[in-house]
Amino acid sequence: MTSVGNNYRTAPNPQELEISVFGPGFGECVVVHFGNGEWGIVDSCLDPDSKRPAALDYLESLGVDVEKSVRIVVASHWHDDHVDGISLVFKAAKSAIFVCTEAVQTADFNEILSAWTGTRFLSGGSGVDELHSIMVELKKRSSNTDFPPPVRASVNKLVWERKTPPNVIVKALSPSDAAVLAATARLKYLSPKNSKLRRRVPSVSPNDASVVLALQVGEHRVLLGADLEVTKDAGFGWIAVVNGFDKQQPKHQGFKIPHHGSPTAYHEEVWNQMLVVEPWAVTTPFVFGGTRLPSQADSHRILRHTSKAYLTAPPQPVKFRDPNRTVEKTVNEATLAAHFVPGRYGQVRIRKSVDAPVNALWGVELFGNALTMSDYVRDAHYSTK
Amino acid sequence: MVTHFIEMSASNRIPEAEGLEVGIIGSFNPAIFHPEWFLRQKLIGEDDAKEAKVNVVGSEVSDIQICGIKLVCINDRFSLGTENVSLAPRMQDLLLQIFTLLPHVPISACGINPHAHYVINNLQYWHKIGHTLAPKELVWDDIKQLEKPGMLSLSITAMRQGEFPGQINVRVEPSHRFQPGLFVQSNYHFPLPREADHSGATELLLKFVKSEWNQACTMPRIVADKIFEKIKPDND
Amino acid sequence: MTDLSQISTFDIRPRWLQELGDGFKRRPDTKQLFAGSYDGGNLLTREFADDEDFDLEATLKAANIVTAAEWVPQNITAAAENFITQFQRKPTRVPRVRRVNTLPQARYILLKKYEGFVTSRKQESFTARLYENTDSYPVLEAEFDLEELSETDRALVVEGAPLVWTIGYRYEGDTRKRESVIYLRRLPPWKDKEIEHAKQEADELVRDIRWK
Repeated sequence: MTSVGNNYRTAPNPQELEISVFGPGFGECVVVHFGNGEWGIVDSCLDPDSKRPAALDYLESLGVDVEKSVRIVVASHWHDDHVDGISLVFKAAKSAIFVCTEAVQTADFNEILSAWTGTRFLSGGSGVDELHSIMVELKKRSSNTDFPPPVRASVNKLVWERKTPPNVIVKALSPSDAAVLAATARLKYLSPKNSKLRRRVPSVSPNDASVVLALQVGEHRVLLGADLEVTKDAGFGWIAVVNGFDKQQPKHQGFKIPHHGSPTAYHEEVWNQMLVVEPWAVTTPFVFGGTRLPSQADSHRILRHTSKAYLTAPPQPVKFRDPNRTVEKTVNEATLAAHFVPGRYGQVRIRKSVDAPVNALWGVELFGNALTMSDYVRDAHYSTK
Repeated sequence: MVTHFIEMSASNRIPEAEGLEVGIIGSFNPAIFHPEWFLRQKLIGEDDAKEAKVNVVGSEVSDIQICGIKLVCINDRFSLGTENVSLAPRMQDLLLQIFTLLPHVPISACGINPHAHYVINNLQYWHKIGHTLAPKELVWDDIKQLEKPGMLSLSITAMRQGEFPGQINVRVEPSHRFQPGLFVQSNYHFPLPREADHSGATELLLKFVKSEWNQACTMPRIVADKIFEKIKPDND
Repeated sequence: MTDLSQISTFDIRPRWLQELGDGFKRRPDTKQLFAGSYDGGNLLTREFADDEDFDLEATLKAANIVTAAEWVPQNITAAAENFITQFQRKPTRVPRVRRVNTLPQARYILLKKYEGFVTSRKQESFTARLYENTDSYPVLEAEFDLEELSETDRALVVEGAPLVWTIGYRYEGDTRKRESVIYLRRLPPWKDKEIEHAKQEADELVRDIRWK
């Protein structure tokens, strides 16, 4: 992945807070520097060039000792279509706490895990390969008290904190108890007992059980929105998060926009009540079939809230090509559409000194195919449905 | 992450013909294997059943063709075969379905045996491959009774460790279908443990077929690719 | 045994013997017709009833061994006459088999194979994620018209359903046809015992994990 200028491999200084967002892949990845050389990784995707987890590639390029310096690894979704490579990340981060949704505790979830054993010989695995690998690693670590125990995240749970300055608090704002119950109820239908069909485990929608994280480093706060969506029920999704948010506490200066900026994850009150005026906002794109997220309309909506909005890459598929002319011709003839996924890829890196005032600007760098949302909206080349 | 794919050749060379045969040694009742049985068990549809060909179905031998796949069963040997390698996944599914329905059939061994023919347009290169795989200078050229010795066939056997230990046997010959050409056949042999009872043996067979199928089916391509990689034509 | 070299030269390939079943075997109670080529090519044998009116060409083609055979006039030598008398058959001509093409009539050249699964199904189409090999990344995502599938296959198109897509050339004799086939896999369904065993494995896996 190309970088802008020579700064790509420059690590943040110990007093610098960093949020880097990578994507798209089969998933996205957020890498956080909490200051003092301590890092956190939220979700995972692969770098299309190296085919390794983007987080590992990035941290190694900065000279970071992943084994010792990564403190938390979070899987905000349970479904591995959004956490490609996270098991490799966790295996490398031997000092890290693993965090995932509370929904994994149930017997129904174990049934889904068991589906892996029946379909592991199929291409594409069973859909829970990553989580299975994480469980195997957790089991290995469980007999050694040197490893910190994993955390199941649910609303208002403190996931990690550092009491030495700059102080760090990482708190989960979701899933709500109701969301956990609903998610586990849906999982029942995916159990092999119900369908008997040997297939890859399908995705669960909506993403009620996603883990939204509120990061606080010193006086600076950032909201990582995972893929949480908005539902009609106030006990779920963003409505529950906003309702549960302490309006007395300071608002967040930055926002990892959930679900690729789609309208299903947009809740105006998140912007009004949980974010400062003109926060920075980053999202990764999504391309699937005829769907391109964020759409132009989505982008306009986001730009109404902040001009400091960025995309890690435009939602543009990469056309299918093959060195064999017959194959390329046949694929194009036999399909309604064919493209490579993920498509274009990039990184948005945002840094700020922990000692800087809350209203000071953050430094933004764009790497690879990353661009500002304004450029995306303006440039017809990227126009989407 | 994703696992268990057929490793398609990285080489530019594609076989001119490929086939696949799976053989299982055991104790069978050939009379079962009639297209009607497959239809009744919902392993094939009505159309497939209509198009099926029956050469013979009897207590001693059955020889039928369903879904483009030849099934031959005599008392102690069951085999599926095809010269259309695109049917390999269908064959795998049929095998899994048949032995899921017949869990108590005594089975002692299984072999996955693909083969591939490659055209080699350059006669000198063809000779070079033969000379490199089976050098004549040291022994064969020195036996005066042998005039112009040439490689007729080369077989290699190797062990296979892991969950399904056994052998991999590879045979390389001049192709009898394409001249000059190269023929590669492999045999992924899995002898089932003697101590396994009948249903245990079938379960093991199913696991073997699921786990090793893709790797076994691509052995000829892997071997041929290595030959073409290591032995280059002289004008390269 | 009669010296057949008086009639023809021949070279019997072991593989063809196998395909012929008994191979080159003379049984006194049957009549065998020998076909030979005169240029040192290949000999095939077939058993025919004495009065059978057969079509040699069709028979040999059906045996998938040669694709051309023809009758040619033949000046029958004395040795051949003796032979024919011995077998009490009096053909007025001897066939010459020409090995024109020993390829089986059908073959297939596989150009590309994708394995993957269905990612979504719509009213008239479905999408699938497809992998060429272990290292495939990015991977191919394609949308297909459901009409391309048979009715039976359409019923199998559900999210997560495994499938294989092959692209290649099919040969029927000298005719080559480009072929693209989507195969929805028919795997045996989960059995109760298997589910139970898999669940035990999963329970065993998570049992010792101490969550905070």
